[in-house]
Amino acid sequence: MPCDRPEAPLDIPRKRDRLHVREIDGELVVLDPENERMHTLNPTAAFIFEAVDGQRTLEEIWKRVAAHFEIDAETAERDTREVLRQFSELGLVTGLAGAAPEEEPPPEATGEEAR
Amino acid sequence: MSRPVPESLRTRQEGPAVEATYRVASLAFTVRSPSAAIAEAVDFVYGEMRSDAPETPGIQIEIAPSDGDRELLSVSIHGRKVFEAARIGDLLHQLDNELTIAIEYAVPSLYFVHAAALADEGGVTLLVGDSGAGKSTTAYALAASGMDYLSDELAPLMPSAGRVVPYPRAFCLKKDPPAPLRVPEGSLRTEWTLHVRPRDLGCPVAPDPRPLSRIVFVRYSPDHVQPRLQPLTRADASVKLYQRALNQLAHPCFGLDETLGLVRRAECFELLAADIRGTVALLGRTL
Repeated sequence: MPCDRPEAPLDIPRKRDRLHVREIDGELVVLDPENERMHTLNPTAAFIFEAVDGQRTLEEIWKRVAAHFEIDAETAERDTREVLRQFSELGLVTGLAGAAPEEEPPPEATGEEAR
Repeated sequence: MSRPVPESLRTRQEGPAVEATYRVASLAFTVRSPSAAIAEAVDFVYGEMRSDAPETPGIQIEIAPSDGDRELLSVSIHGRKVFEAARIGDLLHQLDNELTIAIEYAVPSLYFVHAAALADEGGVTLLVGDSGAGKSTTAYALAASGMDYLSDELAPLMPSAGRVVPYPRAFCLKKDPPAPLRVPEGSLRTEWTLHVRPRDLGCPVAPDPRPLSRIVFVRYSPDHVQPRLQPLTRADASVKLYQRALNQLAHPCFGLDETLGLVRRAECFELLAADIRGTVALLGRTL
């Protein structure tokens, strides 16, 4: 079952402008020149990042995650929220309303940062 | 026996000025020293890059007694004073830092990484790591084991060709290398650095750019009993390489495509370095 949390109207995440994204060996590398940081995204995080298009809602994204990775809705929503919360903290996405921390340890979404 | 620390810079300033020209990639740099003794110390470090052919110098460096204090040496690049030094170790160290910056500006098409570079028939192995990670000691040991030498600190890379340009200045160690490595006779010891020429280690110097084949990110911990070499994803390697690049912002798109292009050409590893004998043996078996 999905988490019992009401969908906020602002839960339409958007990628920040001026990020440079490249794929290498199935993983994504994201360069954020404004903050002088580079991030690697594992395949799950990369899938979520690519699903963020400024139009899909959080619910639509986690449903895509559930279908793509063939996982239950509750896990998909929890993991998607957590990954998006990390993206938000790293300044990669905006437009998230109240991505609350989860009880379980988060999936490792991003690798080392440069600078 | 190592060469002794000079007593003072003043004693080294006597005599006519001496000029010598060196070459890295397509760039010549000329160093004018106030005495044969200072010129000898500079030439000890950069002698492998000495160019006796007539050159149009790209970088002009002048070392001269300071106007304000004759105990100091003042160093200028293209006529602009960049630093003063009271000790020969400081002079060589800061000269190397300033020269690195000047070369980066003069040849912005190259991608500079803080790394050592050695080669065998398989291509160039870059050893990338922060100061204290064991990069220089590992490079020194690999050179002593017979690999060709390109650089111990600054690796200029040609991103489109995927080649590493030699920058074969003398090894610069902060302390004596651990046994069984030795300091060869004739090495230059300053107040706080030890300079060892590759030729004194019996190590051939690569004369031309060589293809990049491996990137090894070196980490050292005294807790590691056994060295370990583990594969690294190219995405993680890209981040680590970008972190240690020196002029990535001089390239289009902040150097992102150059970084990925170089990483795509190489096998990438992380080395947890331990005792030097085991580390070198592991690298010899694995790479």
